[in-house]
Amino acid sequence: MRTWLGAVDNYWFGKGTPTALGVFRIIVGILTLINLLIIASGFPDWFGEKSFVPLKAAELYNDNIGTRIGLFGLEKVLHIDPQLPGRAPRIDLLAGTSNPTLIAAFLGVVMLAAIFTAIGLWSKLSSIVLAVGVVSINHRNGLILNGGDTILRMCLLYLALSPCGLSCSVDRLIALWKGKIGPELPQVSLWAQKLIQYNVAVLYFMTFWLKFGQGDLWRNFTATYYASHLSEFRRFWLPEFVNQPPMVYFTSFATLAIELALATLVFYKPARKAVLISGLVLHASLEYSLNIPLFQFLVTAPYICFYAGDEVTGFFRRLGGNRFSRFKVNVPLPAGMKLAPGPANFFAAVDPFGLVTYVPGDSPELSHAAIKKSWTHSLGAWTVGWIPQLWRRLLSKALVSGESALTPKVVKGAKKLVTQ
Amino acid sequence: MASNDRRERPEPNARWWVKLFVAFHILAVTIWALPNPHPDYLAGKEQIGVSFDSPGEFVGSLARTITDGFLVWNAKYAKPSFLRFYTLGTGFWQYWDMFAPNPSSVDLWGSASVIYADGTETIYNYPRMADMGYTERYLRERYRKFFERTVYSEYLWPPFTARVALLMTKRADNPVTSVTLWKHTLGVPPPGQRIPERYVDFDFFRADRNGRDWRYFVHRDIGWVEVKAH
Repeated sequence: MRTWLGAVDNYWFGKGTPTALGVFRIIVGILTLINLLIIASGFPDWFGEKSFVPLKAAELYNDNIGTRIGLFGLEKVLHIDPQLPGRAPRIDLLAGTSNPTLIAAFLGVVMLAAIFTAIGLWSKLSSIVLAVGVVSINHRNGLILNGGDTILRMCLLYLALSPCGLSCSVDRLIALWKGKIGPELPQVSLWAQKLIQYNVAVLYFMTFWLKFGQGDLWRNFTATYYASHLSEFRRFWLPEFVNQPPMVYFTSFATLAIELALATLVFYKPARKAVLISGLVLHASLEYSLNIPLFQFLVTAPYICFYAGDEVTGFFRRLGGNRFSRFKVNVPLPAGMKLAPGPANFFAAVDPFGLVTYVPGDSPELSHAAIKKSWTHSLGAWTVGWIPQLWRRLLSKALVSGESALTPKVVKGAKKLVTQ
Repeated sequence: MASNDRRERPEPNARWWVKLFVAFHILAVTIWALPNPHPDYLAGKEQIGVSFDSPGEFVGSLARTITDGFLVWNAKYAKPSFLRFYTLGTGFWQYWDMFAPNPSSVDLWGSASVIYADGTETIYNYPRMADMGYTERYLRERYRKFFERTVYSEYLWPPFTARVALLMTKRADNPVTSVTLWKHTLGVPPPGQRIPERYVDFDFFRADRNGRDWRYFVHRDIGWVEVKAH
């Protein structure tokens, strides 16, 4: 019993590196920003008293939480009727607000939080602000939400609960630069990542159950025929045979099979990769054929969470070592200079593929070519490297004189040069 | 000795209250996400029970009794339990019914006919996906979703007409006096049958201004707070 409990504890609360969560945070942050921009593009129609959805209409649509405290039917047996003293609290910072300027400002703040979350700046605060903001917007106007919004809300709430800023974040880069942390990623309990996995499985299992349990069109394998013949949903051209029997029998069956696999087999490690790839294929085909904005991106974004942090790091390193090896470069530093330990870790962290090696050079200054090589070959620098002078300043600030503190990476690079 | 044991005990993966929260969260989310049972069960039109007519019937009905019985119990007692304060309050509410239980087999889009004070009539074209380019369609899909919900939600019809009146007012001296909402539907028949070419048009709501302000009209119709007519 104790062993079994230990295994369960290790499964749900075991420690590991938060790399997968960091990558997930970046993807979800970007998708949230796009989603908010799409909502903002229809702002006058969706928010304010002159919109299609004035406050009262939005309130009528929202589920009424009520005050009755249900006890799974036990209250009927015991003949009691417990009630909350007042209205149940709900995350809705826009409750009772109809002022479009106020709502627009709120939307602006939430977009800013999405940017900060994506880049991982003040990650804890920004991910919480983002989650609360998006939940509030969802509660303010639920009438325009689709399945993608529900997935997005889940993802953001889990991110807010997770240590997602400990990896792939500006927060981490700043701490590395200042020497407050070492290059090794911290080991943290990954229960939030496990909850994301579980929720994804719930998503697929429940939709499978509903389809197979109650959907006669799914049980006779003609369901995809109907969806593909709705002109309001149609997107890019497909040959007609794809939307006709016997092809629709296959696509309907495949949809059910893949959804069931994504709820079950995905947890079986030998099958995980195949299941996730089949999920990607399913959603890519839906993205091509049906006009359901962002849904396919949002539903596949959490797939990364089925991998441990070390597996994600290893994946990037393998790509850098094999497929991208032709992009490997040596960046010569000025003569007699080296990278200080903290900044050396910083530059290693912005280069997940491990393509850049900083080597001792013989020119008195950092050349323009060296600076360009440094940021263009470091994936993490792409968002800021193009800003004039920024990368030059960072590299210049990172330089210290002397040879005694050469970082292992630089030494390795120098040795390489010698052997060449 | 005891204190030594305590010192050697390995650090737990997570604190006890985190573990308690995770267990509670899994329970709450699972209960909330479970599919609703077939509406006939909830309405009492169909009874859950085991049939002994044949071995096949017995197995099938037993399986249905267990699964559907559980879903009925969940919908009646578990979902409305105190757990809903958590799911609805935090935003963890979720229901996964994408193209389920069946995908829609009806194409639907909307429009409105508008009459002005001078008696002229025009059509308001609510954004229709099929008429848009790829990018615009991607950006404006929420309009389709919203209209789908509007058709089935009477309380949305008055604000909808008020918005249309606002959008269609071109001159202050010629206000919109009447808005009629239309839905256009086309049912997709099963494979092998010919898909009709013409949409069927229904007018499902008409609002007349009758000398009052459109805002007043909206407020009156959905029982809103008292607002002065201009």
